[in-house]
Amino acid sequence: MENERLQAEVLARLDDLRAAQARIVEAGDAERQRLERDLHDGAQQQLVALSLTLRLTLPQPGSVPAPPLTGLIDQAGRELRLAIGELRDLAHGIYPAVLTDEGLAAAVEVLTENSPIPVMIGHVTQQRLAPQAEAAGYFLIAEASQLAAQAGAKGVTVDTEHAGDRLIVAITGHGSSGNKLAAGLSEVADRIGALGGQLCVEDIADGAITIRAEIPCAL
Amino acid sequence: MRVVIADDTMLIREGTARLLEEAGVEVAGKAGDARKLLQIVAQEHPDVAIIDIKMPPTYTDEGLVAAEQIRSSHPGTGVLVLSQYLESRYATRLLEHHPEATGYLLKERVSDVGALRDAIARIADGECVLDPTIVARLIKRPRKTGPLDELTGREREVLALIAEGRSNQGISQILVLSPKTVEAHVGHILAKLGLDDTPDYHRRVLAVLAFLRS
Repeated sequence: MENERLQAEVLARLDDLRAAQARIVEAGDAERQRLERDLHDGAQQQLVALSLTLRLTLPQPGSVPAPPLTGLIDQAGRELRLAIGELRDLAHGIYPAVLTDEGLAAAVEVLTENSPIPVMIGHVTQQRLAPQAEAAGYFLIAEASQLAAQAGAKGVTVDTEHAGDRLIVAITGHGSSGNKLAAGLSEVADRIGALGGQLCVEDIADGAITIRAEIPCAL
Repeated sequence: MRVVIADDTMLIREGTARLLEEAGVEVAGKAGDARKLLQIVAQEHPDVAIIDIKMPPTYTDEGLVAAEQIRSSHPGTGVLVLSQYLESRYATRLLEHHPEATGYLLKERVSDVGALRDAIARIADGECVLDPTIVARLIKRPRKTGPLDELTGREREVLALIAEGRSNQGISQILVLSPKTVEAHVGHILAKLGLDDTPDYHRRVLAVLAFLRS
């Protein structure tokens, strides 16, 4: 009797712990989204406004130009544009707006535009899922393709599937070691674990490796 | 040329208006949100509406939605969407539905008044204009096999410049080719994409869409 009661208590504690972990991941994601918006709508807008103001200080066409000043203003304008570009990349890395707006399939498509190695899209689900599952899937794919690139892989293929209340993500690449990949993915694995999901790295034939994750995704 | 400007940031709205006026473009109205923008467009019938992608109340895609509405209900007004996003996804969404008289530029282009005026003129002419930085990114990305594989390296360069909204004359200057050579390249591109039977500016617009989808 006592044993059963204790066991029930331990199980209840475990459930609480899992729920707390999931809340921490959700809170972290919400904070990332807020940061992304602040960078885009705050800092970046201000830099654009500043570049306009700077441009307005240039002599009007037809008036007598002051070459040294004009050159400096042009240079400041170019530097500002660089800063705006870097800020954009930073905001995107923190939490891509396209993930919030349009979901995982769209965000993965965007990954193919700026990944260091070719990311081929296999079969991907177009459905909208719970935001924390979309985020976990996205960061897994982003992180895994980075790691695969560093390990010298020529490219990766991404598949996602919505099966029941789970999101299944599979990333397959050639030419990198499974152990190294697993080590590099520990942070993403924690994120997926906190949501009650699983991540595994499988060596398959011909030196190919598949990273597979199952993530609870009910809305 | 007459334009209206919609941006919720006052400094950017006023600054863009002043720069364009100095460059000889008439600013017929300014709006801080999509509702006001649609009102002004209905009253003023401008050649082009310049629209920030993010506006109140939700700051997600109000600008894109307003641009699509303007293209549907005011065919005489072109749209230029200014965006902080480099992802081609937003541009594709806009151009897929309304490829004519439509442009998508990165927000920071507003301080490059030459490029801005040029884009407005092309959009007013019914063409589509895509930001060169986005075009460059799209060229570099690994693609699925498709009709673009048939193009030679030079033809792909020419197609990228068409996507930026350049005329044949502009392309011949940039690539230092004779206008005749550029014309021949454009002809080959359209033939390879199967677009040689449609009217002229439609074909260029369709070629850009093929480029975006590849």
